[in-house]
Amino acid sequence: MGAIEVKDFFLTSPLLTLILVSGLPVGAKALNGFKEVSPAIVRFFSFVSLSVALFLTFIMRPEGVSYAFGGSLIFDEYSFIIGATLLFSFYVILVQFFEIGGAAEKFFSEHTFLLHLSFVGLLIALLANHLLLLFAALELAIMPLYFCIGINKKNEFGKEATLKLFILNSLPVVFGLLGLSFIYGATGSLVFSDILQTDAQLLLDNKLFLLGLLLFLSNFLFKSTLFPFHFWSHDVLKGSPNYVVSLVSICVKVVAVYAIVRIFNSELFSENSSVINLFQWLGVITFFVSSFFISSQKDIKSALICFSQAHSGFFALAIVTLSSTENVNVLIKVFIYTISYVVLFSAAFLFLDILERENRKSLLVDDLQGYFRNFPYQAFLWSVLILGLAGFPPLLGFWGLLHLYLGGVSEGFLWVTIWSGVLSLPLIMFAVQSILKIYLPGQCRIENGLSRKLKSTNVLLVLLCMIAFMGLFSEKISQALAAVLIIGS
Amino acid sequence: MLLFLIFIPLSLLLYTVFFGRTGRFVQVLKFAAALDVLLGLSLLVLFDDLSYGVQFPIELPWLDNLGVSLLFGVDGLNILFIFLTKAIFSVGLVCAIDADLKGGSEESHQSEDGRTNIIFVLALHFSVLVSFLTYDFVLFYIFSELMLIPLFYFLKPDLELVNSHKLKKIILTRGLSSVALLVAIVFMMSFLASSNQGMSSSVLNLYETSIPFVASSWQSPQTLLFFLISFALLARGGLFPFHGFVVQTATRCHPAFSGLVVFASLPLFIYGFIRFLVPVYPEASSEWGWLVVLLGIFGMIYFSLLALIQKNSHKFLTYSFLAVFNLCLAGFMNLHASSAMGAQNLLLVFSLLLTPAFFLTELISEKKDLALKATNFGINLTKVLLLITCITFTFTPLSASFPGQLLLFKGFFAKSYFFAYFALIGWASVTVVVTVFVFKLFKSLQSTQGASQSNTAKIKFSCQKFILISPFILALALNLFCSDSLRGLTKKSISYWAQSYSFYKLPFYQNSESLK
Repeated sequence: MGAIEVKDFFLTSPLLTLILVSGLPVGAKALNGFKEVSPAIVRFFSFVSLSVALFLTFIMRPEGVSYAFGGSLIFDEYSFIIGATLLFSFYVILVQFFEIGGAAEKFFSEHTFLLHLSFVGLLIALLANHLLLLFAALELAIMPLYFCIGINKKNEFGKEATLKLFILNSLPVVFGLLGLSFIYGATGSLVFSDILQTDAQLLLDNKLFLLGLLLFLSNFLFKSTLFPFHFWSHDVLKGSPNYVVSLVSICVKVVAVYAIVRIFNSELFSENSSVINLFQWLGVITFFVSSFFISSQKDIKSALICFSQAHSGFFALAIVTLSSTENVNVLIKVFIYTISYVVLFSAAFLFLDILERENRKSLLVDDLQGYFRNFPYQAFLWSVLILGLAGFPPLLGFWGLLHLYLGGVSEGFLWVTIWSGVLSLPLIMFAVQSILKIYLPGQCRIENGLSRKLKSTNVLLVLLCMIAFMGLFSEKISQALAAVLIIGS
Repeated sequence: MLLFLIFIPLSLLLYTVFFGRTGRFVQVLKFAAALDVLLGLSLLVLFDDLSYGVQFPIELPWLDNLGVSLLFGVDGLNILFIFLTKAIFSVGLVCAIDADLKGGSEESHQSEDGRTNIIFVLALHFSVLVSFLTYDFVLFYIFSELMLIPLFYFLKPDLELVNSHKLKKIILTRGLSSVALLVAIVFMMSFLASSNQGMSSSVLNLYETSIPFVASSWQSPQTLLFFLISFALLARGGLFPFHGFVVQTATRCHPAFSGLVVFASLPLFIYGFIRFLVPVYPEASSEWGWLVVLLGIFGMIYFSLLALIQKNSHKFLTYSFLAVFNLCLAGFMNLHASSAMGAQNLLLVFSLLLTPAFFLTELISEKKDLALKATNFGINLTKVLLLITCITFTFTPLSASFPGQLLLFKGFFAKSYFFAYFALIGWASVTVVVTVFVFKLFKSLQSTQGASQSNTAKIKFSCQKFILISPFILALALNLFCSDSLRGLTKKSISYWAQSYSFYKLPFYQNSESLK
């Protein structure tokens, strides 16, 4: 570890901005005798922090790979592209969060700050070049969520969900810590670059290292909801507010996946295919499990969570693809899939959130019957969204999957690609059936549709436009990503 | 030229969506439909007989990173299908305007349901047309998927169907076919990229590439892709044994649209075999094509038997057409010039017959008064139409389909006696089934004629339908006496086809040059 330099602060300025600016209302509250600050001010600071962080992310983008804080943080093309995508997603989550209204007015500023803190934890995990830092950052991201899930007293499942998350998360955390100690014992270092430069034979010969690695990875499998650590997401997220569901299903998952990619994308693993094979199978089984359960889902939220879980299977394909290549074209393809995932699920959870808020109840799939009769345009928008999630062409979901499949097959993962395609069939079935229900005649149980007065409705419309048209311009996205990756390399 | 062809249905679609409630809407639609047919005809006339490569090409760059471009054109393989699409959908469009969808109201086109029907007919037209015109595998995939939206609309699902296993089976089959086709496309694009040709989804590039093939091994890439794409095309086309979707849709929707549904599902994907399967996987097609032939012949026998037990004329016709189109597929995949030519003839004749035949079912359905409809014309036109339909289906000399049937069986006998016998048995069963059915109808016409005289005033009948379908009926009737119309067209078409294969240096059907 080297000394701290001034440039480190410039590089990490987006993180610092997010944490400091969003923390101002909390500071003001503390100084003002714990008198609640106006929600408008909290919102203002929150959006300012996010906008400035996004601006700084682009301004401070280093050319090539840079390190900060003695090499514990790494700034490269991965961190830039995924970081910028997640900042965009976090903007949608904030819009969603701010419109909940009255959920926790007493602790509104703290609530907002904790949400930012959780997101900052994710960004640090994305930048981490040190296993311990990665581990701690991910936990920093999860811990504020206990508060966010449990704070709403009106939500009868909130406390139960918090407890479940706490207990279930403890297990991989303990495993992860144990794994860290094993890795340190075997290699004498926790810095990525040191570990990944060790002899590839270590993975085969040193059982302690292999065991440590597997234990450490279990924590990431948990966060990315890959089999066999997928079970928690359904239980916990069903009782969580929708903005937390978005944060966990999108941001936490993507960060966990790219953390795994960062570990795997090295010579150490490219010469040892057994771990890559393991991930292929985990992806296929995750697909199988989530596809198996989706047909029995009665409420829309659970179904969307299942959809998101199934995409963990696609992410497993992304992991194995990225682990075995340095090819820029393949990287671009996987990044395009990631962007499509973020846009699709941001829109899906936002749409559901607005509908549930307007109707003050959890929506069942059967409630969609007759939706077209009452709200024809909204029913059409919902159809576009669900078709996009199911990968129907020419919507964004299709282009994302096409890019991912092309990346996977070009790296020789034909069978995983075929399996992931075949096992996504129950998802397609579910999507088509739910869409057909919308257009059936009958008494619509959705009384209130999207309200134009809400900011989130406008954001949703932008997201839906992206779903409809963004894939048609994937060439431009590809060019932009290529520019970043070529400069980065 | 092609831009106009594509532009008309697209602009009509947009016009219907935005101005579908205006007074001149119907006139505009009818005019555009007529213009569409004229454009289709002029394309046929302008097609250069001496050049068999891509004519009237349109190539616009789109997604360079994936090698996907907007590549459209006409060659010997698709020229006739494009004309057919224009003809069938234009008639279908006017039928959609005219169809009594709202309890016999002639103003149905002004209703919301009528307008929606027209929108979906136009969407289906556009998707089918682009699927025929494109040389790009990804575009073919996209537009054949987009076709699902109008097809599901015409399926008219209700709560019972949505919750039934029947629908689950349909979605599962269609979904599997989508996955199979997508995986095959992805593999081929990656293969082209790895063989230093750059990422591309153009079928013209694939024609010039040889995909690895190991004889007698189902694990060779070419064989696997052959099976994947065959399955995808069979399932999308609703060919045996994946016919559930077509049968459900064609029988549940209004007869005015059944012809369009069947045309969009069956001939399009039979064309898929000619364009995307046989030329790209020649060795695998030679070795494993017999499986598709077997399925086709078995399908024909199966559907003709199913047709035999149908009491509903709508279902009966659907199964009969399925039987014929399965035989066409078997003819194409027999990979013999003669049977391919026969299959092409049958495809042409029966595609033309689709819409008028389904209209007949509207007339002769159990709910309507058969005799009254017939006598409204002064002559017993229904009987004449039935007779033409019957003659076309059966093995009758001078009928439009007779030369096709003859050539088809000649090809089967030349290639394999085994298939030929089964194909003959199948066709004989189709003949028997149709004849029996038509005789039954004749009988019922006779018996109801007297009883229905008193109700004449109550029944409205739109002559417009018959004015519209008359060119088709005329074409068929003419063929009974004139040997040069459809037969000539078929011969021309197959020679185009053979020349195009020869132009692309593809191995099959080249010997059919001698048949020109």
